[in-house]
Amino acid sequence: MMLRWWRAVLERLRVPVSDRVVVPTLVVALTLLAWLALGGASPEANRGVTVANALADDAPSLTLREADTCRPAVMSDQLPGPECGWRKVPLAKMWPSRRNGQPQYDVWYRLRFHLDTVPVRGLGAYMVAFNRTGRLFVNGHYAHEFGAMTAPLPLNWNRSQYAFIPAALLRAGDNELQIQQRAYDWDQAWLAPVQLGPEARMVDLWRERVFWQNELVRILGVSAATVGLFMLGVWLGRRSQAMYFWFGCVTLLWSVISLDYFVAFPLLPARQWERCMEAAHVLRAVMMFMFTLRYCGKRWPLAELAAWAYLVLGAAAMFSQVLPSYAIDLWYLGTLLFSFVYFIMLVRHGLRNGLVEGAMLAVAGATQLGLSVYDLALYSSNTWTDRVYLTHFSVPLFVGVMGFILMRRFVESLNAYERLAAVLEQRISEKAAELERNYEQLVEARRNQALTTERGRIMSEMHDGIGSQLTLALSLVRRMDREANPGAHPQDGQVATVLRESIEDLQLIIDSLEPVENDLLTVLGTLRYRLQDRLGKSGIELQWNVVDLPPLPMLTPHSVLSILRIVQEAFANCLKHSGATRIAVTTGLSGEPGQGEMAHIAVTDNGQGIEGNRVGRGLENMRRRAATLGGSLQINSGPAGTEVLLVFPTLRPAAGDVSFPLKG
Amino acid sequence: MPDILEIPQVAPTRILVVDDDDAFRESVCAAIARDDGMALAEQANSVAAARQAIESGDFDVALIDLGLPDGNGIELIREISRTRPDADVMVVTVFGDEAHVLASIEAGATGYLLKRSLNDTLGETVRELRAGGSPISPVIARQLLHRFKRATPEAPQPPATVVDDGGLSEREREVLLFIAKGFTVGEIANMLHLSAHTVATHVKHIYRKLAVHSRTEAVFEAGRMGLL
Repeated sequence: MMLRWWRAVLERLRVPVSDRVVVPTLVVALTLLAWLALGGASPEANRGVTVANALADDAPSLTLREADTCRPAVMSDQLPGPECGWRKVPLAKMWPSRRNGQPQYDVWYRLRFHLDTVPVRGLGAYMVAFNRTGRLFVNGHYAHEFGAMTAPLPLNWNRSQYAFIPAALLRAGDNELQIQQRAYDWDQAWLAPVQLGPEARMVDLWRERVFWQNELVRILGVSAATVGLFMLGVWLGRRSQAMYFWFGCVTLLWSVISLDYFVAFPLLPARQWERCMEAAHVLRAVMMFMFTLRYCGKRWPLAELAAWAYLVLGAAAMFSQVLPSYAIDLWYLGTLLFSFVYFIMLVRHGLRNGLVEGAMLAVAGATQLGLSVYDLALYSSNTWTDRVYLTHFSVPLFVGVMGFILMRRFVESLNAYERLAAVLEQRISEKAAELERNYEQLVEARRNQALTTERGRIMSEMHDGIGSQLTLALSLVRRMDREANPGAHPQDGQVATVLRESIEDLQLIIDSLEPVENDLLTVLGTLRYRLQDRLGKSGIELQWNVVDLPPLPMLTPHSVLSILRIVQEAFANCLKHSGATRIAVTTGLSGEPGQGEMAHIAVTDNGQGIEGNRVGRGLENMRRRAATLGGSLQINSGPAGTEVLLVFPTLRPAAGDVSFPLKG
Repeated sequence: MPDILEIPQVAPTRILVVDDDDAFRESVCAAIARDDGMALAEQANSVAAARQAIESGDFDVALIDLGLPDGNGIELIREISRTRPDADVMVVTVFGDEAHVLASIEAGATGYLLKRSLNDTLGETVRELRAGGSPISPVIARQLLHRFKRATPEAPQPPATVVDDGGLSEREREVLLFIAKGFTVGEIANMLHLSAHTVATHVKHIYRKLAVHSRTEAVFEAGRMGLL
């Protein structure tokens, strides 16, 4: 049900199939991120209850929300006396920077609390926010050092602290925590409310907070760096696509900025590092602006120049300290303007590429913009709370969305290329097949041409050579016969008969080579045409009882010659021996077309029939020839006449099928 | 009442004999001499001699052997059909094979004779020819059908050998088909309810059409090659 509804929504929105998996994944990821961000945003709400419960059970639990504090004029490891100007303040407390010619300054806090009994296993002290470095004393005794107390001081920016207080340092009744905090003169020093409780509980709280605010940021930073390097790699392969370059830079810069959250000792001197990080934020905004322009396929030279000038001039001013710090803050705040501009541009362009892309960009962009505003507000509020900075949690979302969109473009262009390649390949193979066909036709045509030429040459030789000479010989012999017996009936003598039969046999061979286009009737008709005169002179009537037959594939010159010889022999028998007055030629087909179809030719006369072995020799030849056709010959002879029936398959016999019985 | 059709038979048909074989020529001349309906117009044993005879002599039928010592008889056939359209040309062949006969018909011949049976059939064939009938064998009929077959997309034919169907009438096509199937002129006449003479005349018309077509095609070819 849910699934169907979801599918309907996708259809309505015309979401491409490839996005249907991505969109739910994105929704899940967004929800997860939101949950993480919210979980990180208000850790105290949950934790306060947990801690309270835990303390109610078996251990003293206290959250110290106020302290006496002072900033001595001279740094000393001794708790300052009353001359320092102690005053009671609520926690969290943030000290402004102090420039009195010394590179660092100390501040001191005194937090009082009451214990009815001393906890046997001591106490854990958890400071949600405590920057730079310092030491913890309990009732005047040293308990813990948070980091090196000489330059370079550890960064510890936005890092919670935990310290263990042994039972030996505690006493029943009133106790006092004394906290010494050290910072650079340009630094601000802050302390959030301090929680005291059972060690295990406090360690858990501290670890959880460190995970969300420091470790996770480190993981995200490394991931962002990987994505950024990958994008730069893509750009190296495709220099024309500048957006990959800018996106890679932005992502790498994110991971650099995230160093602030987990590196205690940066590579640069603390002050320079601080400035570089501020400049990095502005640089990121400018690069993001550049990326957005390229992503939208735009080039705004003036706007681009202005953005870079904004960065360079502002950074120069910051490093040369010509501007007051509030001006630098304004410069920093100006990046919000960039963010807003590129956010609008991204969403507009994304929507042009489809609802999904637009929606994803809108969510990612709005999240980032919102969290940036929140963080900026937090940063510049000067009313320190124990809230966490959130912008970093929008980074994976934004990198994910942009990475997805860029990858999709990349994959789509790959797919398009593959489709193109497939089309090309198909065209090439079509062309190749066409060429192949043409070539085969050409080869076939050449072969036919060669056959025709050769046939023509042989025919010409037969015609002008042996044929002419035989004809001449016949004509000479006849003339000699006539001169020897003038006035006799013009009957061919023995030599003339042999010559005439030779010519007729040659005629038969030539006829078998003629183009009959697989028409059996043309084959038989040719024979009839040749015999017409002789039949007419013998006074024999020929009945042409033929039915039209489809083209027979088996009619090659070889088989045509066999048929011609068989039928000619049948005619010759009728003419010579039977005394018939009528001969009928009948044709027909039997059997199924395709396999097993047979054609038959019957030559029937009304003569006296064949007696004994008179035509034995001729009959044997006819049978042999019928066998070469893959067929059979049947002779039914009686007093009323003779039927010679030739039956043969219509398909061309396979090479192995033809048997040539030895002449017996 | 005098029959107009018999008028040509009153005067003997004058025959021009072209053959390089002396014995054969003599035997043909003897056969002509034996027949009252025929008279020898001229005899020649080469292309050159035949050309002279064609220019000067008067003849009704030319008997032409294709293999002459100084050239091909086809040239003579072309010349006669161009200069003497009223005359008939008969080709003398040994086998009456399609290659020789069709080439001759294309050049303008309207009949052919087998050399070996020429003595027996000459008179009859000449009379038929003068009366408007041409001999035709099934193979030649089939080849004529093939030549006149309209080129179809499924079976494209080289255009040089194909004449548009417009060249053949339906009746002519029918006659050719029957001949290709082995039927005689008499049988076809019966089946189509025509006279045998009409059927034979159809054949001669078809021969003429093929010759005309071949000439047109030759002109077309020559024009394309820039000769005209």
